[in-house]
Amino acid sequence: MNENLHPDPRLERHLLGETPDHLAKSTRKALEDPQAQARLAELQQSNEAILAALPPDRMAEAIRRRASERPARQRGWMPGLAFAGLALGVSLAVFHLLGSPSTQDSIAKSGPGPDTARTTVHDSGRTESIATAPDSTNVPDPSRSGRTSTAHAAATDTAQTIDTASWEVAMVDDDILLKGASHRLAIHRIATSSTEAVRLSDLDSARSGDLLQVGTLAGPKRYVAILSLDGNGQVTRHLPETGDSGLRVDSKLQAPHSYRLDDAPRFERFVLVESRRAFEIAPVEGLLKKAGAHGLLTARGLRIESILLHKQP
Amino acid sequence: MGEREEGSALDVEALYRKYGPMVLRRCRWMLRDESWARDAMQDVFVQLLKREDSMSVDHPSSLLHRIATNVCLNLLRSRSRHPEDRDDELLMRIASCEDDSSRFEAANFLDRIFGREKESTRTIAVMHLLDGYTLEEVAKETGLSVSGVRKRLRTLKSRVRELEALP
Repeated sequence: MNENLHPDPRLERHLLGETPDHLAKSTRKALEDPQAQARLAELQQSNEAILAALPPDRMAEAIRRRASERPARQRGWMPGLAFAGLALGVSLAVFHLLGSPSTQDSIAKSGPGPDTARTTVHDSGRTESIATAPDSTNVPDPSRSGRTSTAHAAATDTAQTIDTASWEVAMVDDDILLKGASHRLAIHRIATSSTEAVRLSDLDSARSGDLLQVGTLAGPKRYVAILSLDGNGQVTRHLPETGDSGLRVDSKLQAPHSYRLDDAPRFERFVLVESRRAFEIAPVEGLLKKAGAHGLLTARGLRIESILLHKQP
Repeated sequence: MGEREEGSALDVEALYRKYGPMVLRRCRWMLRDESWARDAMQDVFVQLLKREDSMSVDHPSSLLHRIATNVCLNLLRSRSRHPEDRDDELLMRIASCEDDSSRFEAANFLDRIFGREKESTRTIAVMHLLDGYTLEEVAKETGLSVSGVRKRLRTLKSRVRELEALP
């Protein structure tokens, strides 16, 4: 089915048996079109394909999870003295999260210069700028080794120093600072037989051995980091691969190495963390480990987008 | 998890099973991006869940269709991209319009008192210009009067030339 073809709402509703009286006449007219029966058959096939690719139980779970995130965000806007104590707690948590002022300053001043290399590429006739994270010779190559074990060890050590009690307070509120356009997490599977890449969506399937390219779509000037958690509880840093803080970017960004999935079971959850201010990555790693495959991931001052891939044996 | 939550969880699955494909097709057509479309589809159902009275309506497909249109227009407004064809270009122009719904809030005061949602003017424009609904059909779908629909659409005239012939 051509998804760019306008799905006539009259046919959609006819198929569902929900044609209201006021649309009965124009629906009859639409059904007289010689193409109408073929379109209805296509819609039925499309229904089956969508429900097979995105099963109702999994989607219902994702929708419920998303719905449960909303009230927490709204509570953060409630005014009044009753929230003064909470605000103080949140501020302390943000201090933990964003690091000391000296850390923020040093990262903000450094800008994209030392953190990123910029290359120009041609894509579909258009020229655009892509920022690529630095390719350090000290960084283990996950495309060859499968995992950045050095990064794991460092991350685990740092995460143990975080006051997780403060994090619970921080999770009451969410992305107040973030309005308007933002970066988007982009995971592409690279076909081994060609240079073709297929963009993966939340709840898609993946297999051990799949080669993935991890990055972001173009967005505004922000600090970002991309991490993933696998079914063994291992966290991998994709962007930046080294360093303690989110990377400052203002355009598309791709991890310097492609990433080959290992045989960790059940899932691989990728998260894009974005903020207007510099932030430390280690606390986010701790949060991701606690959240697992399906847990909520929210923290004041951060926007966190998640793509969960189901691992097939 | 309480009983109430468990009950509504079953509803989500049933709702998605019946209406999810229609909503996803709508989002795919408007957004032209699979990842955005799946995201938007989930948001549509989240918004539906927030409206406790939503399932008392006769035709949930109508409500879901309008919520999907509104969600996608908001996404298109916040994330610019190049239009792929004429319909897409028209969608992008409608999405970029200021929505003057607030101007009509006073007129719809009774609607608000009785809990009836005011419809986004941009959503009305998509229904008329792209879905091909007549003004009368749009009026019936949205619960507005025909003159109310016409008045709303006139506010977009300067940005959407397809509305110049509006009677």
